[in-house]
Amino acid sequence: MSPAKLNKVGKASSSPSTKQTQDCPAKLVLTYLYPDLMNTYGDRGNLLALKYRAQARGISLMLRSVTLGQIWEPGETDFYLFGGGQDRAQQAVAKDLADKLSILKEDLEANVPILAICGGYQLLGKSYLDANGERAKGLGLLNVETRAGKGRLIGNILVEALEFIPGEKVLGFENHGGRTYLGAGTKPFGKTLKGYGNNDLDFPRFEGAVEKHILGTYLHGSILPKNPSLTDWFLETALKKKFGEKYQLKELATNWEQQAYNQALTRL
Amino acid sequence: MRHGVRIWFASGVAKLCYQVLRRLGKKGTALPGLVLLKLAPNFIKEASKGLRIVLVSGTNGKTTTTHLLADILEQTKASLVSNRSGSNLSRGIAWTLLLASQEKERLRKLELARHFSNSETPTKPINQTVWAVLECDEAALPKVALESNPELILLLNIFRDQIDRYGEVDVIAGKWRSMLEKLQGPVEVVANADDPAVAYATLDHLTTVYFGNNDPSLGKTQLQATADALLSPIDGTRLIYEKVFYSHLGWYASEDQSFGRPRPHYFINKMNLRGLKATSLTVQDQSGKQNLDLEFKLPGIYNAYNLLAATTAALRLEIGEKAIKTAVNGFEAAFGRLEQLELDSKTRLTVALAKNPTGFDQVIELLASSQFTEPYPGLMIGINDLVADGQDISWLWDTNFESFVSWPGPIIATGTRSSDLALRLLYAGIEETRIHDTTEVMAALNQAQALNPAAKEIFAILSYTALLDLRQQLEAAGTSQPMYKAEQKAKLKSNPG
Repeated sequence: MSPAKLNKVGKASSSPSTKQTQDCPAKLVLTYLYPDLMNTYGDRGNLLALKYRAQARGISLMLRSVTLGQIWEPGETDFYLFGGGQDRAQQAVAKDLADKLSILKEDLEANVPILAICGGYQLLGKSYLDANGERAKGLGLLNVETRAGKGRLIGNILVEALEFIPGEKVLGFENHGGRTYLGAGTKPFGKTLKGYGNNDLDFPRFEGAVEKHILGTYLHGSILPKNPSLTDWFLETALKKKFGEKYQLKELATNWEQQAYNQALTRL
Repeated sequence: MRHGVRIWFASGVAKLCYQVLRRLGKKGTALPGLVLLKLAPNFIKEASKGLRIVLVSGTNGKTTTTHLLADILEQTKASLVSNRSGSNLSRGIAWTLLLASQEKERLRKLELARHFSNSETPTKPINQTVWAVLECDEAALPKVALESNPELILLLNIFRDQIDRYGEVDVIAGKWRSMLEKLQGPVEVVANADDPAVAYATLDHLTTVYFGNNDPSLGKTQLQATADALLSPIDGTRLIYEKVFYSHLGWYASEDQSFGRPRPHYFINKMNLRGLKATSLTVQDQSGKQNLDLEFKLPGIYNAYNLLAATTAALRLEIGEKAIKTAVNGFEAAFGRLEQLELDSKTRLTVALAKNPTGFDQVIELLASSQFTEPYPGLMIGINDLVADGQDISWLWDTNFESFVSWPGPIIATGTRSSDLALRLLYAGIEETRIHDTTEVMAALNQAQALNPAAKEIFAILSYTALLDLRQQLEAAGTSQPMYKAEQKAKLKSNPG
C-alpha cells in the first residue's frame, strides 16, 4: 500500500463515559488496533476492564482506534490492545501491518506495553501459516511462529504466570486452531495448569510469550476482567513509564472480579 | 410410501425408544432421532420422499420464522409437521420426518378406504399433501439439504454464535456456498439480501430469490462497536454501509462496488415499529403487483425480518394473501421469544431467549428504549455456560449492556455464570448498588419480585438452559398458563401412535 493512501489518525479522543476529575492529571492514551476486524472473541472486554480500573482511580483513558489504511504518531501511545479475528480478516490485517511496523517497533522497543490476544499474538510473531497453506508475514516483534493445526484447542484454561505477575493463576478461555512455537530463549507468559496454551505438542505446556512489555496470549474470557492483577500491572507499567518509576497505583478492591474468578474456576 | 426393511426396523426401534423415554418422564426427541440415524443412515433421504419440505436456517430467528411459516401453511388445510420444539439438528429432523411419513401413510390409507367405500353419496378426495416445515441448525443445513430434497430453503442470516461450537461467520457462509453448488433438482433458495454473509453464500447461485428491507427510516449509518466488520469476499476490502439496520444487516457495498447488496425481489416498503406492542409493515415485490399490509404482535426490527422471510417463502410457495394475513395476525410468541407467563394474579413474567450478542442486543434495545412508567418492571438476566449455551461466555463483553445504565431499578444477574455477568454490568457503568448476583434462577426470580414489590411485570433475558431451568421450575410450582400454546398443539401431533 503506497503511503499516499494512508490516513493519519488524529489525537486520541476521550470516550463519552470518561470523566475528567479536577484534581487528577493522570491520563493514558490507549491505541486499539483493528477493533472492527479483530474482536471476534469478545476481547473488547479488556478495554472495558482497563477503563473501569483506571477511572476508579481518577485516571482517564483516551482511546484511539486504528484500522486498515491508517497510521498514527509513535511516542503518543501509552499502551496497545490487539485482539483476535477470523482467518480472512487476519490475512487482510497481516498485509496492512507492514505500514504500521515502524511505528509499533519504535513504541514497543521503548517499552510501551501491549496486550495481544490470539490473532493479535500470532501477528506479532514472525509468521503465521494458515489452514490453506498461505504464509502471512507477522511483525517479528515476538520471536514465535504459528501454524494452523488439526482441529481447534478449545476450553477453559488456567495458567500460572511466570512473567509480569509471577505466581498469579490466570483464568481464561482458549479457542484457536493456530499452534504457536517459541524461539530459543523466548519466555512464555506462564505454565499451563489446565488446558493447552501455545500448542498441543510441547510438554510440559506453556502459554503465551513475553518480550519487554509485550504480552502475547491465547486467553479470551476476556482475559483482564477476571484477572485484575494483570489489569493493574498494565496500568501501573504504563503509568510508571509516563510519570516515573516512583508512581504508585492506588489500591482498589477486587471483590466483583474475585467473585467472577471463583465462580469461573468451578467450571474448569 | 415404500420403506426398505431397514427403515421399517429403525423406525420401530426409534418409536419404542420414544415410548420408553415418555414412560420415564422424559420428553426428548433427540435420542429417538439419533437411534433412527444410527440404524438407518439414509433415513432422511428415504423419509423425505413424497413430502413437501421447507428448511429454515440461520443464526437468529429460526424458531420464530419456522413457527410463523408453519402457521401460514396450516391455513391451506393440508397436513403439516414441524419441529416446533426446536430440535434442529439432523436427529431432530429425522424424527420429525418420521412423523411426517407416518402422517402421509395415514392419509393414504384414509383415501384408499374412502375410495373403496360403498357409500352412496360421493365424497371429496382427501388432501394427500404433507408439509414438513423444518427449523435447521446452520451447521447441519448442508447435509440435511442434500439428503432431504427440499422444495424451498430459507436463509435468514449468519451471525457469530457459540464460537466454541461453530467457529466463525465465514466458516458457515463457506459451508452454505458449497452446499448450493452441490444442490440438484428444482429447489428454490430464498435468502436475506441485507446480510453480506448470506449474499456471499448465495453469490453464485443465480436463481436465488432475495428479500430485504427497503425502508430507510430505521437505519443508522454506522456499525455498532460489537458487530463484526465484514470484508468483501471479492477483494478483501471493508464493506461500506449506506444504512445499518441491526448487527451487520443493511445496505452495503465494497468501495469499488464489485460486491454489494443484491436487489431484493420482495421487500419491506414501509415499517412501523410500535415498541413492545406490535409491528406493522408492508411487503411488496419489484413489480408492485404484490402488496401486503401486515400487522404483527412481535416487536423489534429483528422480528420484522423474520416476518418478511416467512412471508416471502409463503408467496414463493404460492400461498394466498388471505392465508398469510390470517396467520400473521393471530401469531403468538414461541417458547422464550418474549413469551408471557402469569406468575400470580398481578404479576406477569416476560421471557426472552438470548443466545448471542446480536439477539441479546435486540432485546436490550427494546427494553432500554421502552418508556416505562412507575411501578417500574423488574429485570433479571441469566447466563448459563452448559454445552447447549456455549461454554465460552466471552461474548458477554460484546453485548451492549451499557444501554442498561439508564434502567430504573435493580438488575439481577443469575445463571451458572452470574458473577461474570455481574462484573460485566459493573464494568458497563451500572451502579454497584443496583447489581445483584444470585446464581439460582428461581431465587433470582423471587428476588426480582421482592426488590420490586409494586411491579406488575418482570423481564427475564435468559440463555437457553437457564430458560429451560426456570420454565421447568415454574411448571413444577404450578403456574397456571401453559408455557406456550404451540407446544400444546405439537403434543397432539407428535404422538406416533
